[in-house]
Amino acid sequence: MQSNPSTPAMEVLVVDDDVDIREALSDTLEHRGYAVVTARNGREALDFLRSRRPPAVILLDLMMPVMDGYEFLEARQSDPALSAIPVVIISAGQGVDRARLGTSAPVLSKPVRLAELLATFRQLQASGGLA
Amino acid sequence: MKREDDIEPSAPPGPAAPIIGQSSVSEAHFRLLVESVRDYAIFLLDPSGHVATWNAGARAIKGYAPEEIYGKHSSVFYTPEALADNAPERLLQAAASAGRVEEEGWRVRRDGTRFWADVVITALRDPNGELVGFAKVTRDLTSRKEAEERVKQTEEQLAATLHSIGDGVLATDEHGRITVINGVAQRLTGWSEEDALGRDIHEVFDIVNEETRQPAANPVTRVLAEGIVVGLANHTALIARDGTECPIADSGAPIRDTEGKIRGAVLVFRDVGEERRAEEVLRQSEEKLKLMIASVQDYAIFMLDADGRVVSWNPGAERIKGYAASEIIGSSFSKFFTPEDLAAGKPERELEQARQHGRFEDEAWRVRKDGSRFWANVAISAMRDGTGQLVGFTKVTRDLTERRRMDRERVRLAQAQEAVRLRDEFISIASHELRTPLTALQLQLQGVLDRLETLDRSLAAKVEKAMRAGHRLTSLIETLLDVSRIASGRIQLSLEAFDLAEAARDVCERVDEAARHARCDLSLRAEGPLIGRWDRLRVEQILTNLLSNAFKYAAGTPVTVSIRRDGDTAVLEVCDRGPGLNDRDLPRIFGRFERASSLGYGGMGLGLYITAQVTEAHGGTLSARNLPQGGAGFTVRLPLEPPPKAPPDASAQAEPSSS
Repeated sequence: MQSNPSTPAMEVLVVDDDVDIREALSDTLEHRGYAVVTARNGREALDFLRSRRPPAVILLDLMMPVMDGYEFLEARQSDPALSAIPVVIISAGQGVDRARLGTSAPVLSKPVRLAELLATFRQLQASGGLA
Repeated sequence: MKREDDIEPSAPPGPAAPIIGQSSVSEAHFRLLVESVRDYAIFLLDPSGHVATWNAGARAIKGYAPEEIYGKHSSVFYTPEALADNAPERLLQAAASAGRVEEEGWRVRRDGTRFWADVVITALRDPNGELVGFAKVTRDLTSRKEAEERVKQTEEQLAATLHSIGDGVLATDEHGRITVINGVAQRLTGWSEEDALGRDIHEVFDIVNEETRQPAANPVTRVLAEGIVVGLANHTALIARDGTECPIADSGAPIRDTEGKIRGAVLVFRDVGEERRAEEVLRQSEEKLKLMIASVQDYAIFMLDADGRVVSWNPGAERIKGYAASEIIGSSFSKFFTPEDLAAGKPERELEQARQHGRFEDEAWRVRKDGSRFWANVAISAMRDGTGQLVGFTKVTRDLTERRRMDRERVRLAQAQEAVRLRDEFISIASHELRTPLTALQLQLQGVLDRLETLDRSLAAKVEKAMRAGHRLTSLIETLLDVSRIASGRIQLSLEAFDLAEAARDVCERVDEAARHARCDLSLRAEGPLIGRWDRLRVEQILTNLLSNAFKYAAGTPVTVSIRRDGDTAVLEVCDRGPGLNDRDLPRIFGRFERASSLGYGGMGLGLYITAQVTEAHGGTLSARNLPQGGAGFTVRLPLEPPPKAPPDASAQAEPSSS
């Protein structure tokens, strides 16, 4: 796979407390032509999002210290600028509390398959993004 | 009784006053008669009232010797009050005018003592009618009056006593006619004293047998006939004059005079209605107490007499000590002690303690009927009656070994629950922990593959194999965790409404690569959206599992996913055109650790098991069949609405969730 030089790279914000996952995701996605930025937890993600132009999609882990995925989503919901950015949730634990998510964002369980991930991105693009 | 002032002239006038001198009896005889009468004072007064004659009776009654009184005025016989009232003169004048006057009143003796007298004064006239004097006849009524007084007092006392008695009292004469009826008797019989006196007792004391309603024998009858004390039979009711009834108890006795002759009967009776009610209340509360003790199974509650012998037993005692009531009642409670305690005289000491201090409590070994020992808590209390007299002891024994066992079990249960909780926590943590490095692993491998694919096909192939192994590892972990969760009964569904067709599309896209790899031509057939409430992740898991099975066992054949609606059920089918399933395996394929025997594909055969469990958790069914056109078909039926609450897993117990 090569990145398509004619189109600007879609930016993906990866939010996960595990450094290996952040690196692996960055690597693989970048190799597929995406631009990747990372954050270690919900708080860092919020700070990042509020300081610059929004990414195309957020890959969000749920179990993180400082501010977990649920809390991040809560904060995102109250901010119209942020809630416009589509989110894909990648979760390692079982029993994702759908009700608490407060969103109908797709949920992929770890270990995430790249193919799945990319398919999900395409779906989001096709449907114009989900709030 | 006449008061001194009540002078009653005799009416009608009696025979003419005796005229002296006309009698045919010789004067001498007459004088003798008069003189010798001792019971009556008979003497003459001259017209002015002075004493002219005196007889023995006058001497005896009034105390004067003749020579002391001759010529004295008869007013000396009167009391000071009478004198102040001019009674003597008045009497004489009354006698003079009426011819005769009689009165009762106090007179005074020579020694100053008084006596109650009956006095008749007769005026004596000569043939010309001239008053020649008065004849006075005086009778001493004192003793009779005193006797009358005493009788009156006694009567009054008796009457007071009678009316104070709380019981009814009826007395009769020897013919059974009522002579006495006290207030209570009047009230209970409904007869007033006025009406009752003189009536036959049977009339007033109307009694029947409470049960047979037959007239009951009146004890007075027997008392009068046989002269013995008689009691009423039980269950006798007295019927009052107005018809009201009350249950009574009584006894009758003869009234004898000083010679022992029966002069009548006395009947004493009382209303036992109140008594019976009180007895009933007492009986009921005793009944309740007995029931309560009888129903206590965990404590031996029983009574001992003052010497320590068992007099009562309850089911708890039977259970704890092993003796039936019939076996132990009458035996000494020392039977329950160990030989060592017996030798040391413990039973006696315990009783003594209870006697002295009212209570004794201890924890010690006791022996059951079968000789086995148990550690007991015993409490013995002294029971005393109203006068403080010791009547026995109560004993309460608790088998502490039981309690200990229960305590241990409770601890074990708590420990088991804790262990389960820890395991759940572990599962939760483990699943998270394991997936994290796996994610990185997979992604890195993927990254390597990306770069190698165009550069070095053979290396890329190796990486692909590594990745597939990684996928299997992932699957394995998933399966392990799932099974563990199922075993603990904690499949928790997070339900949401979604379109099954859409979810199926998502899954098909995701497994597209695997499908291509297995050379399975995957197609999805759905009539339209099918909205229901399920756990999306789990439903996708079901479909993914069925599809991966199809890719495993029916590689190279077309695989079809179809979604349709059947009433209020969603039907999801995965069909392939592979070798199909062995008929032998069909019944077992959804069990744990089962897999279709023919293929050597690695894996623990848990996929279908989990799929089946998850389906069931939704209240749905999973079935498998061989298709007529060849291949296997798996059908999942899911109710559109989930069952009201998470259905119980057969093997599980409810456990607190750890989220």
